[in-house]
Amino acid sequence: MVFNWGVGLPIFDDILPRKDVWPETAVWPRLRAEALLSRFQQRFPSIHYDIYWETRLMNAQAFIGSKGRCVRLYGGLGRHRRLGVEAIAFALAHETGHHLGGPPRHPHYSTISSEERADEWACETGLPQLFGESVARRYAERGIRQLAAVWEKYKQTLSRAPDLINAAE
Amino acid sequence: MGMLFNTPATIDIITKLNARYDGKTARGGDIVHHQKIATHGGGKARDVAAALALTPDDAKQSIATKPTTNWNQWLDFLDLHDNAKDVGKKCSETVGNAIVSALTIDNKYVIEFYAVPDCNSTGFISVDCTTVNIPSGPVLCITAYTMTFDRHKNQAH
Repeated sequence: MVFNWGVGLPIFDDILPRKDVWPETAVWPRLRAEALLSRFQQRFPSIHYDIYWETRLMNAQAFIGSKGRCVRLYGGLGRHRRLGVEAIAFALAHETGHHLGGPPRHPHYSTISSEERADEWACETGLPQLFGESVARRYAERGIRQLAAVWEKYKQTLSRAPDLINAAE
Repeated sequence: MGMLFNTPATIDIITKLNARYDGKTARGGDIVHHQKIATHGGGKARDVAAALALTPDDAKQSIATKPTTNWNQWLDFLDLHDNAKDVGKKCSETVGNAIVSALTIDNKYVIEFYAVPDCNSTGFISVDCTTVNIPSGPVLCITAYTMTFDRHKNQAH
């Protein structure tokens, strides 16, 4: 049986072509992702971080499950050939911000923060706590730009990037 | 969804699901529908979803595939697959029981739905239910862990 599963609610969306991602067995992208997740896990121990590496879903996700508040990185994002460490770090900080950002809440979920608040928290709190002010600013700038280059929706975030980054100073 | 990227179909169905059980409107009348799937063989998840208008609006989607078709296939899986996280029950039974329980305890209980792509060592799909307390009150989170298309295809070949 073949079904049209994909990103998001995994019923509707597409996965990346193989040519767009590093192979599952590529060592460097995996080490990079694991190092980032380990850093996030140590800094934000109330969140459970994990990786679903084998998939080519280009995404990351904040959700609540039996382990509590979770953040998951998907292989299509972690292995994407056009995304650097800055984009992955920003994505993980954004997802963490959904859990730790507080109000305003997401329009469809009372249990997580809104997209805008998650972005703000990533720039103001998450990335600086992890990497210090200077590196955080660079990661936010470059990360948002890299994400906008591979996904249309992030062009909205890119347009707000100067405000986000200035707010973090 | 808590996803970094979401498509129109994803946003559409999540909006409908979470808006229906956002605690602002009493949904006690839904119990009778969910009771049908709370007992295995009592009803189909896709029929309950249709009765409660919990289906994507294909007309508004820009993607080539028909979201309703995919949604119904996925709901069928809930009926078909045993839930490794709730032994002895199909996934749809777990969902039906949780919703009925929440709506029975409090007619305005907030219920939120997460769908999580997963490698699912425990099977094609599994479901768990977690209650979290936030300042506005308790929220029942129903989380479905679903094997993704690419992995399923790999396993099938």
